[in-house]
Amino acid sequence: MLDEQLNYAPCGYLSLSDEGTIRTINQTLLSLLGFDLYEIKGKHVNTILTVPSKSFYQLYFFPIIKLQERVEEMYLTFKSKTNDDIPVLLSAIRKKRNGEIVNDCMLFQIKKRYEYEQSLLAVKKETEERNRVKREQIAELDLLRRELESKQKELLEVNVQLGKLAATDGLTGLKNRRSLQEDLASNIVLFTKKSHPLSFLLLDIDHFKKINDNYGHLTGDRVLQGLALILKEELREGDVAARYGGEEFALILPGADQATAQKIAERIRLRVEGAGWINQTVTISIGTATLITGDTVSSLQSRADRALYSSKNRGRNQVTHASHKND
Amino acid sequence: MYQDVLLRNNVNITGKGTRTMLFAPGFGCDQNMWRLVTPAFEENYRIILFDYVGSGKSDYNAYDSSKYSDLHGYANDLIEICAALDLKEITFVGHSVGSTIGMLASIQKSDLFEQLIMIGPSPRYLNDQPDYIGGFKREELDGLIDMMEMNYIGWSNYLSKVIMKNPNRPELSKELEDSFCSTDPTVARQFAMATFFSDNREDLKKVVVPSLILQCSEDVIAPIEVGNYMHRHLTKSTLRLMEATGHCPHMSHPEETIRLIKEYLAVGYVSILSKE
Repeated sequence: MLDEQLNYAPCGYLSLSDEGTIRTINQTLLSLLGFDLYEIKGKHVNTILTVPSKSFYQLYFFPIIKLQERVEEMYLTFKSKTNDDIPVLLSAIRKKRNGEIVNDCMLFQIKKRYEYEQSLLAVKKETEERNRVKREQIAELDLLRRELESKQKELLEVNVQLGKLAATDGLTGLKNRRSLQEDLASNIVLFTKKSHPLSFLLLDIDHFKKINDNYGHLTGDRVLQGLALILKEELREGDVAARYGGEEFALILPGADQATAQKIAERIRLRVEGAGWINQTVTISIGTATLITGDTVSSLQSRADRALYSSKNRGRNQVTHASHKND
Repeated sequence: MYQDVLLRNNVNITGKGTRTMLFAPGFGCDQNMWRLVTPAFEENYRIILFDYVGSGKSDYNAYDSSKYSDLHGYANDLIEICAALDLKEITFVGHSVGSTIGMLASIQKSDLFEQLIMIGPSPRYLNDQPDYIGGFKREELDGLIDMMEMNYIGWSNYLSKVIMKNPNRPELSKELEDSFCSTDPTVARQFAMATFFSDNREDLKKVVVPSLILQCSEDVIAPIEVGNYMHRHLTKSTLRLMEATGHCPHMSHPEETIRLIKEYLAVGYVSILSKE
């Protein structure tokens, strides 16, 4: 029998056997739970525990008290007769009394602290959830960023490809006229500044229309490609070869003075003459011009053009260098 | 490498025998839980004890959230311990989730195990109505995990690390260190999730090693239905219903636990007796 003081002390008192049987329980705890003594004395403590607490009791309370003989500040939820959850804080000691092992528990209800901790836990969970979502979003953004970067890289590659295509003549693989003119303009600026020589050549296949008419366009194309190949082979470092239009080709020879330009032109002319692409000899006429002070893209081109015209007029299959004046 | 594994899992070896018994603790506490049982086997067996990474006196730095997000990570550690000690044909004794971990290891490396002794095992804690009774509704398991949090499970260890840096409070540090159920807070929660939300029912039929299921009376964590289910689905299993109540018979009823294990070790798996 409990004495009056313990029976009505301002905390719950509970004594359990090792099996968890309720041996003693004070009035304070009975009132808290809403039970009468006869209803729960001798019953298992599970009768007054919630499901999570029953498990927690097995997983933690029992092993700890068995090994350490005491449990301190354990939070559990008791279950009242009307099935309400009653959060409590419990401390217990295990000892021998009157020849048997008892587990004495003192416990009191925690209302305010419980609410407070629940709020903290709710905030903690919310924060964890938010962090989780944030991590997911960051991962997603990261993925998008990587996708974007790879798309941008692709786009740059496509642009480079497109740039090449836009600057290239499809049939011969040489630069086209537009691209040549850009190159010529920048070369003129550069070489004027350095006062280095620069020569420009225009090359035209003689009687190309007849070749096309006699042998067909496919053969004509092969001749164009043959000439393009010779030009490519003759290119020095920094030289630019282009298809100027139709059967007309152009060469920019940076650093080449009149003599060099003429030598190169002559070599090309000879190679074409001896190429043997078709049953008749194919020849070309060439006009060369070398940069003089005050030259522009168009003045240099037009002098080369006039020189080419002279070659044609003088019987074709020859090289003419433009006079050093613009008229 | 081997030494690393032994330190990582705080492996301790006692006993005088040549055959080996390896004890795997259940959820929550460490190898100390076995101390009422192991002395009975020390004469005839070599006894191997260990802690899971993240529990007891294991190496907490070895904890890897993704590896230990399910029980296979723990099973792999168990296999590594056996490899490190060159163990074969061991008698494995697991409590609760420790049984499941041993079972998973035996599926991977059956030659390591002679037999599995499972105390209060469960392949799934959640009910899966109408065909399976695990004992818990989802909200009840959530409640249990919340309760761990409300009890600062894991915090003691975390705090002891903090306090150890404070030389003014050595006594508190010592007390926290001595706690048998210490884990790191994150680890405790993850281990709880890996344990209580696991579903290893499909693995039962893959087990080829003979097993003994020790089923407690009135176990709220692994009720009798679960023991029966395991017995039905594990080939070469023997089911013994214990007089012990609760979930930790090796602590509450060590004599009965020892007796049943010894009886099984003496006879082994007898198909006719146990299946009829």
